[in-house]
Amino acid sequence: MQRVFIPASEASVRPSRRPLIRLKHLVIYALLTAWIVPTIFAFGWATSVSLKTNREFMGRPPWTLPLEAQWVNYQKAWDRGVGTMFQNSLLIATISTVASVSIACLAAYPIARIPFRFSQAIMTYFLIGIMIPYMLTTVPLYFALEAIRQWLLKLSTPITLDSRWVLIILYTVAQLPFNTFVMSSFFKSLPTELEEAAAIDGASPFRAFWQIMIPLATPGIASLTILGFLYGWNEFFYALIFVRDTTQRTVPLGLFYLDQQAQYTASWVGLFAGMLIAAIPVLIVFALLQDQVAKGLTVGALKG
Amino acid sequence: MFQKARQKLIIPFILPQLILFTLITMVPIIATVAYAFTDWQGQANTTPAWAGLVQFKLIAMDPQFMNTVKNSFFLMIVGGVMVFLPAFLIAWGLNQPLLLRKYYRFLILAPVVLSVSVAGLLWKWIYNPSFGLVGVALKTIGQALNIEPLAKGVMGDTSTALTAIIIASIWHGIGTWVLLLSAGFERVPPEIPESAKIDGASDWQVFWHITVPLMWEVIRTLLVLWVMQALQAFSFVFVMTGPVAVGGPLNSSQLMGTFVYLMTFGSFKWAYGMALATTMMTVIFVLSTITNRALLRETVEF
Repeated sequence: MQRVFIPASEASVRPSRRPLIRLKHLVIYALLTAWIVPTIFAFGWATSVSLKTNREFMGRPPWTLPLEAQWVNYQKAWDRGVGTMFQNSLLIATISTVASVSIACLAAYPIARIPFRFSQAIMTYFLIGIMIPYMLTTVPLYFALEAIRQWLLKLSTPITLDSRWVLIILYTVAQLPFNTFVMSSFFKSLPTELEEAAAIDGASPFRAFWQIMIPLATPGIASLTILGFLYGWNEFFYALIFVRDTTQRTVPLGLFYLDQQAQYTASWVGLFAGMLIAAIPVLIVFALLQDQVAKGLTVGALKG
Repeated sequence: MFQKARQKLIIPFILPQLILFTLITMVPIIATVAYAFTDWQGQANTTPAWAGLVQFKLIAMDPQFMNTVKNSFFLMIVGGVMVFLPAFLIAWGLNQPLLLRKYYRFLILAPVVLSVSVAGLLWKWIYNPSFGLVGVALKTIGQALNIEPLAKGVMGDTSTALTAIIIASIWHGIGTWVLLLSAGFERVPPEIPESAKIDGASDWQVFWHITVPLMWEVIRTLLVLWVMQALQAFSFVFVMTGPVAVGGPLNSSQLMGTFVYLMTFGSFKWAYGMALATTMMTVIFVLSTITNRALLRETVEF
């Protein structure tokens, strides 16, 4: 068969040359479909269970659909703690993300754009944090917080250590090294003349940072915000170790305990309703912002 | 003048992070490594005494720890194949002009945004031999064909628990790897594979001899990332087996990460746990460095 070279522009107006359904594409469709079928079943099954009664869940085969949708399961799950967890997670994820991205923007700016003696050393110091397994910091932090708790008790102040603030601080710090790394490479990619031009126009260095650099860095900030929120919404280990009070549990931790309780209270459907309450908001956000989230998850990872 | 004025920003800008990072990351790390050389255990108010390398010697002789190393390596190698093979194919597939591409992508990536506890609990119940969607089916097959692990439930058998957990965690996490590999595919300029095709190369030849070498750097970075993550794994095993029988049944799914947790917050052997964490960090550092070096190829410039 003779092959004819077709310039790209011409090829695109003759789609019959590149049919969309070929053997190769059938293989791809088969492969992708094979991968997403379990996902559809998993979500579908969880939804189905969350709308059953406990008796149905136990008595009828798992693949049957609910006889009558029990929307009240969601209401009950929300009232029995999932609502509180939801609010805690929202609060913790939001504040820690804003704090971490802000602090990292501040630190990354001079490292990336103001030449000074120790800039490289400081960056290397921060980068150590990206590689550290979280297991390595937990025990000392735990005892430091216990010491603070005891000290507050001894002072007999009404102030107590709220686990939610502990998590906010830990999540903020946990993300700093990565955020600084991404923001500094972002700042480095912007043209050098920007601040000089601002200085000539009479802007102070801080104004040049705040009104010129930050707006230009918005794409990077957006990616890190999405990533940070997902981290705060989903984090499990620190929450497991550091949350004391049942009313201060986050969604991942609370669901874990809800699962434990389900053994005794025999309320499985409530657990499934809780799982969906935790999953639906992030899934909606992801559906709406698919491209941004995808970009966020990819950011920086390939440069390391 | 302009540079001078800017110098004033350096300290106030860097200081907040420097303080937070030092106090909440670096000081605890140093403390962990230091306490690994003591005999601290039990109540918090006991005073630790210097013990030299005792904890590390105990680790070297601990058959339970060796078992966790074995399991963690199983996760790293078998899990690695189970992640990267499909992730590579999916990323390559999603890179083609497909109908419904967006929907496929959404459904493949969606589990990534779920919390580990949602994903872990969901799969734990899916596997349940009495009530779970897959578990009940597997039980029927297992009873019919007399396959004991399936009849008993995959989470309840020592030979299948870890694999079942790995499958759940891959279902959850594959999206990130697909995305990162897709970004790698997108960095390959489309003209190169196209011109090779015009020269008569088959799809497979193009893929193996052009696309893979061109994105080798990306693959290498991701494999190093995988090694680091796999060896630190904790949450899926904890959520799916815990909190009473973490790493069960009979430690068959015990990983280095869950073992550190059990020794510290479970058994209060603080020094031993910290020595384990230090050992774990060393293993991770050594293995990720080896992976990085071993996969070094001459880079193809484009």
